[in-house]
Amino acid sequence: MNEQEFFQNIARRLGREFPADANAAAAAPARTSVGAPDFWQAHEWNHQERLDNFAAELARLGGSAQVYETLSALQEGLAALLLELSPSLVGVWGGEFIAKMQLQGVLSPCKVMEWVEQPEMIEQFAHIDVGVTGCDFAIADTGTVVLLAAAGQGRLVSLLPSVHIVVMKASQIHTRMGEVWRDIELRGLDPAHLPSTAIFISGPSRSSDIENDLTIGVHGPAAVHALIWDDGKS
Amino acid sequence: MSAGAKDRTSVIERSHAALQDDFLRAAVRFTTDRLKDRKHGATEELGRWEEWRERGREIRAHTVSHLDYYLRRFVDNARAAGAEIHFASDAQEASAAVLGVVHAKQAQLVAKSKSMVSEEIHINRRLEEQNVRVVETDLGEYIIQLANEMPSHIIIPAIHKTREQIKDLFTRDGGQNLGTDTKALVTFARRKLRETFLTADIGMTGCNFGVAESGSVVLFTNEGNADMVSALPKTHIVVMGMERVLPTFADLEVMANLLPRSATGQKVITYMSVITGPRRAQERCGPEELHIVILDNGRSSQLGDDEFRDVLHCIRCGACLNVCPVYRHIGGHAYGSVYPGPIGAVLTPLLLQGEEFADLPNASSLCGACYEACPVKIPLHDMLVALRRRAAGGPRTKRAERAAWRGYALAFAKPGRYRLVTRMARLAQTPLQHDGYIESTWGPLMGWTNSRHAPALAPESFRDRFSRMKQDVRTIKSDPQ
Repeated sequence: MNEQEFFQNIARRLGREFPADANAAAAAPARTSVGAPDFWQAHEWNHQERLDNFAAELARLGGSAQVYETLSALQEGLAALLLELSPSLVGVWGGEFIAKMQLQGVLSPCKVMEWVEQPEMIEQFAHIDVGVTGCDFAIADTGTVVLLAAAGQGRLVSLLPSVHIVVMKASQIHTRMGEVWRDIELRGLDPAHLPSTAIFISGPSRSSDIENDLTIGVHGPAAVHALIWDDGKS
Repeated sequence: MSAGAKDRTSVIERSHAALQDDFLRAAVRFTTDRLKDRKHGATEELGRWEEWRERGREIRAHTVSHLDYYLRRFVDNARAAGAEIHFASDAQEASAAVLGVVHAKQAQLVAKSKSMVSEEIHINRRLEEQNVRVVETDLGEYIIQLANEMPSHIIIPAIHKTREQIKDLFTRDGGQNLGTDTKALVTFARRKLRETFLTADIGMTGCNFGVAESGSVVLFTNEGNADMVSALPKTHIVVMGMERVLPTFADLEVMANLLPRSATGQKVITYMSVITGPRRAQERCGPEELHIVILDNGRSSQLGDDEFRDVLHCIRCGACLNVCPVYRHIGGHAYGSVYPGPIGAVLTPLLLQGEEFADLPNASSLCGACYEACPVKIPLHDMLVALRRRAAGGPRTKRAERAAWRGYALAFAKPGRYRLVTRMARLAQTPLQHDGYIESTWGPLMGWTNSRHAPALAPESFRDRFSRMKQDVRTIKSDPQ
């Protein structure tokens, strides 16, 4: 069916002669309320509450969160975790991520593959055991990390390995999902500013499809570790 | 029981078959109980559930009543992000649009993530007819695809399969020395489907929500398969019902709170993926092309029908299935179509008009539990009554039933006739009644009395008693002590 007829049909069924004017400049239909109930939109935790809740919620989902006072303590924590996992291949976000979090030294004992711009990335990343990424935002209410697609920030680093390690800062944690949208909106909601994917990850991959028996690690990672540098205190 | 749609059996016949299956009944009861209890726990924990529900209803009602505006915004924004949009008025056009892309890409293998709307257009069958392999990647869907069946629950498609049956299916698909423990089975599926993700030419998903203000497609999964399917193959095809739109991201926050809690009692879905167009030039991950097929398939006729417009508010959570006393007994396949349970009993006869599914609205006790459970407050029980009303007097009504109603109209039109008929009925019931109840397996009421008691007519009618009582009252009045 052609587009015009499709919309004309919808308008007719809604009792209108023509489809509503929906140019970018046209006013949206009036509404009494947008989004979550008012009490929820007003809901806000302080820094420590956000940090505690994020860690507790992620643990509830089967993930783990560890808070570090300093960046160097976090680096030691990551080194210990990698030693324990002893992966044969570690995938890491490319771009400025490693430099920003000063992870060069920590990663050096492992065989590391960085996500860079080259076409055969998928095949190479199919074999990583551990993926190390940052995140753009996190949500305390649900223990969620939010990853936006960008040049160095390949989706597959967090999706393909069986262990996903998120290296993040406490200041990235928001109280609830609505605040994340507000932040993303500040960058501009038009498609030119939005990345092709924004992924909200809450704990390890799970399924209860076999006789209702909960299992972890179906397609995505079986373990999610968040290492958090509490930058709010310094 | 496999794909029942072509068998032309009635819902009653299919129910009888389901009621013989003890495993099915136990599994359905166990799972629905669990989902129901978890949902209860999750909504209690959240608190102020009714406010959330009302907000959910408002958002869906507003969007659907301005669908021309919001769908237009969605389409324009998705295009601006680089997506290609296809419009389909029915299942056939939707399949044709998908096949068009498949042929253009010379695709051999399509990896699919769970999607009710793609079941609705039977795309797997269409693709296989063209010798294109299609693999379901949601664990439950993968199981029932191997068994060549339809999903029996919106959220847990393989609710009716035992782990032994699953082991056998996986063994046939190449599994060696598989045990029946969940870990072993899941490990096999993970390895097997990983190959599919990495080699598929096209990834295909549904669309939980479309966001009008950005043209984004939003997918919810717990396993991560929608992410695999949308990120790995070079082409991503989305099939979405035209009513899936939400105005803003702020509204998505409400749905992200309502949907997982209502579906499985989870506080949050594991993966919520917001996809806006194909990958950008500077990104190195994601598909080169994104196609969105927007499907009407009978939805516009509900849009224009005041009695049924609200059914378009549905967010496909399956909560109505878990609380429905009928679904809990007969399971999903007895409904004979893609959408089971109360939502299926309303939706299927609306989407597929005609004889075949006209009896589905009778598969309900009209208790209203579905409405109570619905996160966007769709009055499903009222719609079931409306569907029955519309079917009354239609070709499905039996001759005996018509005669019975004609007789009823005649008898109740005049007091004299009424008295005569009830007197006759009181006589006629004598051989059937027992202790004030009729519990007979024969006679005109057997549809009811086969499995339940019907109260017998009282030995004396109220009218007879009343005239005697009037007599007594008069006697007392004329003779005060």
